Amino acid sequence: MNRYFSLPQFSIKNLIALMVGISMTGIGVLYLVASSGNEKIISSQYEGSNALITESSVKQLYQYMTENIVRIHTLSQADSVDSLEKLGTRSALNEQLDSNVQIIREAASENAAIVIQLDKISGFSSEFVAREKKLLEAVRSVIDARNGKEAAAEEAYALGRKGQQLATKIQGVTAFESGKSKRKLKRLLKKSKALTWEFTLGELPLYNSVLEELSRKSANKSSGMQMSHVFSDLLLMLAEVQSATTHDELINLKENKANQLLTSSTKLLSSIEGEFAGHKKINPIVVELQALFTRFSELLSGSEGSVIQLRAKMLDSIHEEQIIAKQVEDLTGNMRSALNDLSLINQEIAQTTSHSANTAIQQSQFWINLVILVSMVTVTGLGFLIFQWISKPLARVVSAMKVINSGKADLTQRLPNASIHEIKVLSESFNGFVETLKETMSSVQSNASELGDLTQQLTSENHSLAQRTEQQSVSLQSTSELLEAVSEKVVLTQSAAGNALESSLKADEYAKQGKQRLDETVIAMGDIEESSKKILEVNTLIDSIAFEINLLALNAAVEAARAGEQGTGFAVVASEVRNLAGRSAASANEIKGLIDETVGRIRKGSEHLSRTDESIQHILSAVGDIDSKVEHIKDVTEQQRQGIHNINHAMEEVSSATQKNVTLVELTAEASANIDSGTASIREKVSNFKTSAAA
Amino acid sequence: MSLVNTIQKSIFSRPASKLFTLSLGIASLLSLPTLVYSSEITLGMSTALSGPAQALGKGVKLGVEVAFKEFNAESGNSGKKLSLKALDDGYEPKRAAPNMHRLAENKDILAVIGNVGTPTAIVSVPVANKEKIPLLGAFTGAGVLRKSPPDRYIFNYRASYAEETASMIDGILDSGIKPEEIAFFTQNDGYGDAGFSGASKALKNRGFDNIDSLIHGRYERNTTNVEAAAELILDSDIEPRAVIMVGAYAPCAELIKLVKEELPDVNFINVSFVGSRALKTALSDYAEGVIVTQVVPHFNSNLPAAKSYRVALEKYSKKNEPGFVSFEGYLAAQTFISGIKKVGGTLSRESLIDALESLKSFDLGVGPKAIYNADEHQASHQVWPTIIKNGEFQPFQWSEL
Repeated sequence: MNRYFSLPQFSIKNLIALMVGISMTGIGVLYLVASSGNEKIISSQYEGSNALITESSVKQLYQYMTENIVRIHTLSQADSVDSLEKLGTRSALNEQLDSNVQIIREAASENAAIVIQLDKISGFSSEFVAREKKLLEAVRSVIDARNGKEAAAEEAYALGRKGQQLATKIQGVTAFESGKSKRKLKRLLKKSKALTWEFTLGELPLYNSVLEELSRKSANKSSGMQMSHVFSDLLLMLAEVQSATTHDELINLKENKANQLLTSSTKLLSSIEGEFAGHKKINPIVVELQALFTRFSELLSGSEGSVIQLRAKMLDSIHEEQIIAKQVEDLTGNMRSALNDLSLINQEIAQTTSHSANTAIQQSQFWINLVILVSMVTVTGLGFLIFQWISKPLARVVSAMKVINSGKADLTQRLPNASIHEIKVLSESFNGFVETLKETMSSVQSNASELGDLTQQLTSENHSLAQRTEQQSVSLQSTSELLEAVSEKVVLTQSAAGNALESSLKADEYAKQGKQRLDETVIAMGDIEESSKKILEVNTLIDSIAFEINLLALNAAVEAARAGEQGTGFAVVASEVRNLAGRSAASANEIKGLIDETVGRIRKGSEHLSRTDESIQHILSAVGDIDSKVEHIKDVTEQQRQGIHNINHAMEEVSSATQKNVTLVELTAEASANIDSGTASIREKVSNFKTSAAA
Repeated sequence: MSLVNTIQKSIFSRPASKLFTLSLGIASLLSLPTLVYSSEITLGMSTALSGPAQALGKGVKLGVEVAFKEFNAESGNSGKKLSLKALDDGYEPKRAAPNMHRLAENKDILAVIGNVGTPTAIVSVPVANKEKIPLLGAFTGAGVLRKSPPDRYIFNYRASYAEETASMIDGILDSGIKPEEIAFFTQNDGYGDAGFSGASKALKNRGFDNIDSLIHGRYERNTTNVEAAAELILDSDIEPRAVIMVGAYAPCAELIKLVKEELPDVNFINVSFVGSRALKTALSDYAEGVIVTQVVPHFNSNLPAAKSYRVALEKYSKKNEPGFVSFEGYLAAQTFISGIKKVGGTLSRESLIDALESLKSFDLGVGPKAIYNADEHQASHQVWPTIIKNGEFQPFQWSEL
């Protein structure tokens, strides 16, 4: 696997730089893609928002137009100059409409279709203003005519009423005055009755009929009453004129009815004037009536400012107003359709721009996705490389360390070559360290094995010492048995050797000599004991050496951990270990010497024992010399036997000493065995360091 | 971007300003109920300052103004000042109604005082009730201002026409004249009707039911077309001894002249509204013996109100001679002043009404105590007859007939 990635040597530094480089490139590309996409989206949205703004402006135009229609309606409904002036000469709404059109025009100057619609709207708007102006004039003229007509009509009505009242006054005065004579006559009649002044029977009805005739005449034929009727007709005429709705009607009223009525009224008035020329009360009324009538005629049908003329003018103005209103209505329809077109075009633009915005968003999304994908793949690859180049080699170093640590210290293992510079250096250092350790351990191992051999020799020597001590013991046993036999013979010869007191004494002396020899043997044996003690000490020494070797091994481990200053530390430790091995060898030699000495001493002991045997031979011959005299020296023999018994006892003591000797030898052997096992342990421990590939 | 801004501006500036105006409107509406009248208390008046009844309008106005000046002088510098804003209606209902609306809409106007006329009152009363503006001391005795129970916003000083004509009937009958010998001359409208119906009721009370048989001549308002009525009176089979007149001074004078020429002994009895001084002037040589009932005591009497009126007139309007009309204006103003003196808290149209209704019994200095409460909105029910003697109005007793 490694060989697939054995690219040119990289350091972690380079790798990080590479990763950062790739990441930055990825981010950069992402930024470029996103920002270019954004720009497209923003520009599309801007166009879209333009379209929307235009839409709201179109709505605003609608609003203005609707408000204008309302205004036009209000305008046409205006009934006073005041309310007209409140509405203004030119609609502020139109100005706003125009300015909005201008704003849209600026915003959408590139769109020919919109511009065409805007041109249309502008055209309609200015036409609208012109029409509005005309309408305003028409309405004003209607108002003026109506106001003038109403004022004239009101004045005429008031004059008519006044005329009527004056005519009634004339009628009242004439009636009252004509009634005066009647009432006077009546009162006279009453009075004459009361005074019993009587008319003839036939005269009274005659007077009564005269009175009635007078009353009837004054009531019916009074010119005042006629005049009053004329004024009623004139007031009716006035009402007819007011309600006339066509020119024809007006012309007919004026030329036929009004003129006729006025002519007859003038005639009547002049006849009244003649009738009451000198009448104190009525004449001023007639004068007032004439002036009033002249004014009334003028107000009714005069050429300028009359009710008829103003009514005609008002009808004209209303007609004109209606025509203009119709035109405005048509214009409004045109404008509405132009606005609809504008709105449609605008919506199309909005849709298109929103479509291109969507496309831009999709494109941008695609590129962003692509860049993210590429970046992901690249980063994954890099991660794998990092795993291969850094993590894996590091893991190898760690597992190698663990192996060393676990006890199965395979010092033959080596780390493979790594691609990353830092890890390569680490691997090489590790390998160097293990190599050094391996060499150290090899020398320790060989030393330990040598030490082991020596210890085995010591053990075997000890074993032979033990065997010999055993033989010595057996010899002592047989000696003891012999002594037993001597003792028996002494008993046998006790009676015979009654006289052999002398011999017995001699024998006694020999026996004492033997005893002395045996004492010496005991001392020699004590020496052996001492030598054994020394062996113990050596043993301890070896123990401490083993300990120090152990320590050195520890040092070696520490040195291995340091690894940096490889080699030198390990050399020192190695020499120390070697030294210790030397000392171990010396100690082994010393042990050997001591063992030799021990052997020599034991030989001495044997010699002493053989001399003791000779002494006892002397005793036996002495005893044979005095055999005849044994009877005599029975008592002496008894003593002899006693003496042998003592010897026996001494022999037992020797035996126990020998036994003790045996124990000592065993202890020595045990110590030797301990040394051996210590050495074996060292060897075993050192042998954990696998120093050759074969093992 | 400037496009967006411009459009936003054009969209938002208008509603914002509308909102501002609206909030101003709301603020001004909210401030209405808590309106506090400034140190100046202004009263309105819609009256005849031109036309045939102008003498009445000007007379009442004079009386009210004199009373206000007197009050202002008495209240000193610290007190509230009364002022009057008078509008001319020429005794025409057509003009009186818009005048009343104008006064009611002006929130600085506390109340309307001393309007002249019945036809004008007929249109003014509904406005006062609708707009909730007090209408005080109108110079008319018409029933339209005297409903039972009374309209909250209408307060009167004077006796009604019915009371005047009723007192005439009582006086005439008590003097020995028969009901058949009574003729009527009335203006052909609500004023004339009010007087005639008051008299009819009084006659019925006295046991005379044949009202339709009585002579009743009428004339058209604002004309002197009285000849027909004169004929009716003169043509009567039973010669009338008393003519009860409910009309304006000019036609009344005209009628008196016509009738007197043929029947010099007939008693002409006018209601107060005729305008005593104007009638006297119009009658000139025919004035002697003409009777006018008054709803105020004689201005030259020794009653406290007459005395203070004369003093005030002397002090504040020396050029004007004392008269019944301006005295009535003065008394009407005094009833109002009694009201504002009673107002406890904030002076408003409503608190003024409450104060007037809580006056109960109060003295105007004309003899009997005046009464105002929730059921009584007329201060005086008294009628004082006067007669023109030696060219002057003098107190008169019916027994003198």
